[in-house]
Amino acid sequence: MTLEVKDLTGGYGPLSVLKNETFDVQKNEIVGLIGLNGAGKSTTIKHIIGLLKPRSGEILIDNLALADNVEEYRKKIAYVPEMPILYSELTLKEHIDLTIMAYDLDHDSTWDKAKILLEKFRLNNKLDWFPENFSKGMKQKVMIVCAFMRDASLFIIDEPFTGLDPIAVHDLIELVEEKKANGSSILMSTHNLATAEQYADRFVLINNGQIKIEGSIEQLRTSFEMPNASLDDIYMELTKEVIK
Amino acid sequence: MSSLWKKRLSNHQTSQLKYLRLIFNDQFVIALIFLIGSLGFWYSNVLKTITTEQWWAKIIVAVILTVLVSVGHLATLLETADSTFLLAKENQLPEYLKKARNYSYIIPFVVIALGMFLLFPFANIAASINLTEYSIYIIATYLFKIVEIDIEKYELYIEKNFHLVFLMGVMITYLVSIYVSYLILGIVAIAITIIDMVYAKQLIRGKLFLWNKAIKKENARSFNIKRFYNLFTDVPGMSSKIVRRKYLDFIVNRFKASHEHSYIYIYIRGFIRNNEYIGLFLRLTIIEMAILFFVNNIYVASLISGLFIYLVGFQLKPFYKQYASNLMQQIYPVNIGNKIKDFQKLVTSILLTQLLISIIPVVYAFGISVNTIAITGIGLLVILLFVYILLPKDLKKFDE
Repeated sequence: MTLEVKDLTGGYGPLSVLKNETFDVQKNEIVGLIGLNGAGKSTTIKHIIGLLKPRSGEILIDNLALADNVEEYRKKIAYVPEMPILYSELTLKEHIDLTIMAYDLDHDSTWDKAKILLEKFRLNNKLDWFPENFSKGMKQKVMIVCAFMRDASLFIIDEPFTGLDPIAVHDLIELVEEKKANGSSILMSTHNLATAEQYADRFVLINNGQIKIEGSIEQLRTSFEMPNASLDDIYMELTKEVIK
Repeated sequence: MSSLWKKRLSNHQTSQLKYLRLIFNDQFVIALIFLIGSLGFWYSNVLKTITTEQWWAKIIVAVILTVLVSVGHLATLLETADSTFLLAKENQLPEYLKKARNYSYIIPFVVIALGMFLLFPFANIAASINLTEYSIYIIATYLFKIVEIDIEKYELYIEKNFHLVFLMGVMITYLVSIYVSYLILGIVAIAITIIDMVYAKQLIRGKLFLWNKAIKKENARSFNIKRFYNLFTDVPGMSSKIVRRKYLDFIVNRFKASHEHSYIYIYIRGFIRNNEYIGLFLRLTIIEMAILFFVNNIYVASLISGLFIYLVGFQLKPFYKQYASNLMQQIYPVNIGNKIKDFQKLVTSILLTQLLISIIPVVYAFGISVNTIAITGIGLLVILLFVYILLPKDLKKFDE
């Protein structure tokens, strides 16, 4: 089991946003984290990557907690944030060099992988560009390249499809499936339900910082008593409950 | 149109005031007081050494007077959209331009008054111009400026530019007058003013206003002012420009980064390429050098050297904070303790460079002497205190 979130309660400051969350992501598995705006998806992710400290509960990646070994724990995660975060003073090439350095990766073999990704996303002729010259979608692609050139245990992708062109969405899904086949775990938070339904193995639906339901699409259909329903229908049903 | 001018003017003054308030912050005022003080001291010393007429002084006086005439331009405060929206109001434009011209006189008039006042002792001793003659010079300089701004106005109606030719003529008039007789200056100034009042108006009669030229000129004028402000403060749209500066790669490459010291990789590139921080360093160092150049009191020199090192160091703190709040950096699997250590390394290098450069004017003022060594020692002490005691305390507080 790669990621285990056990009884997680936490949030910003004195306010508890998340209440007793428990879920996991297995090896070779894509899990979709689904919820409305403000449901607690990003807060959950921030706890997993170690930016926020749990008030109670435990988060383990490959049976390792952040407190056990900060650097080992962080090396296990590859993270693509919702909004691209780049250094305005570094070129694209330097972003890759910096990632290699900071994550202590092998220079040559990582660059080989990066080159394939750069070509895929049509960035290979823009190595000397600064972020200010990139469009939002291109910045997102840079973040994807920096994350997917690594062999992390856990890939966390926050709203990956916003701002990407259809070809890039297709390419990203291909990459995610490739990583899944190679034994990594993928946690993906998204609003793009049609795509999520197609590629994710399981879903975690959260609302108000609590996990409402989790399972495969069949399991969700059974518990909502909606046979043949799409993830979209189930999501709408959940939304109705929320409004009630 | 007259209410439009009033609105434009008040917008313009509000934004100018905003920038001026940013520029004249406490630190800058301190630096400015020192600078003006030492310049004044230097000028009075120079005056003391000149007791008789100098052959080069007359040329210098002519050049300075011409520069005074050229300071300040016609501020029309036109905006790009005006060429579309005000087109129908073109017949009322002269009224607007007249107000603009009258406003544009204010700053040049003050500058001329100040310049003429400061120049007199020098002109009197070194170029032997007496007070009666000098009063003709003052009147003529004002008349020239009035005509010069009028010319800039006429130029908005005709394709040709001739105010540079005018300035050349002004300089020649000054030179001839200083060498031959001030009466020439008086006659020329009055003649040119009469021509301006009577004849020049006919020059543009029936001509169409050149909107594009006028707007282009106004934009260039306001860009130049903003660029000047940007030397001292951050002007929106002008600051935080990232420039690759490949020629400084030899400095960047001297900072060897490794896995454990990944942070320095970002810091050094950020400092060299972000105009905001390298600009701040250059600005303060150049002002420091200019002051030290004129100071020959060891205590004052030590104080200035130490103060400027502290100022540069102090203003670099936001640089650290900017990167520390970068989310991707917060999750690097790199020893967090090195974040501050790498930053200390950067600040030490910057401040040592500053000290090294600012020793040049110190050596000029004191020679290679005990005083120079003492000033250097005090500078080193300030760097040590700042980098190893003040800085880590503050940054740790921020990280928490």
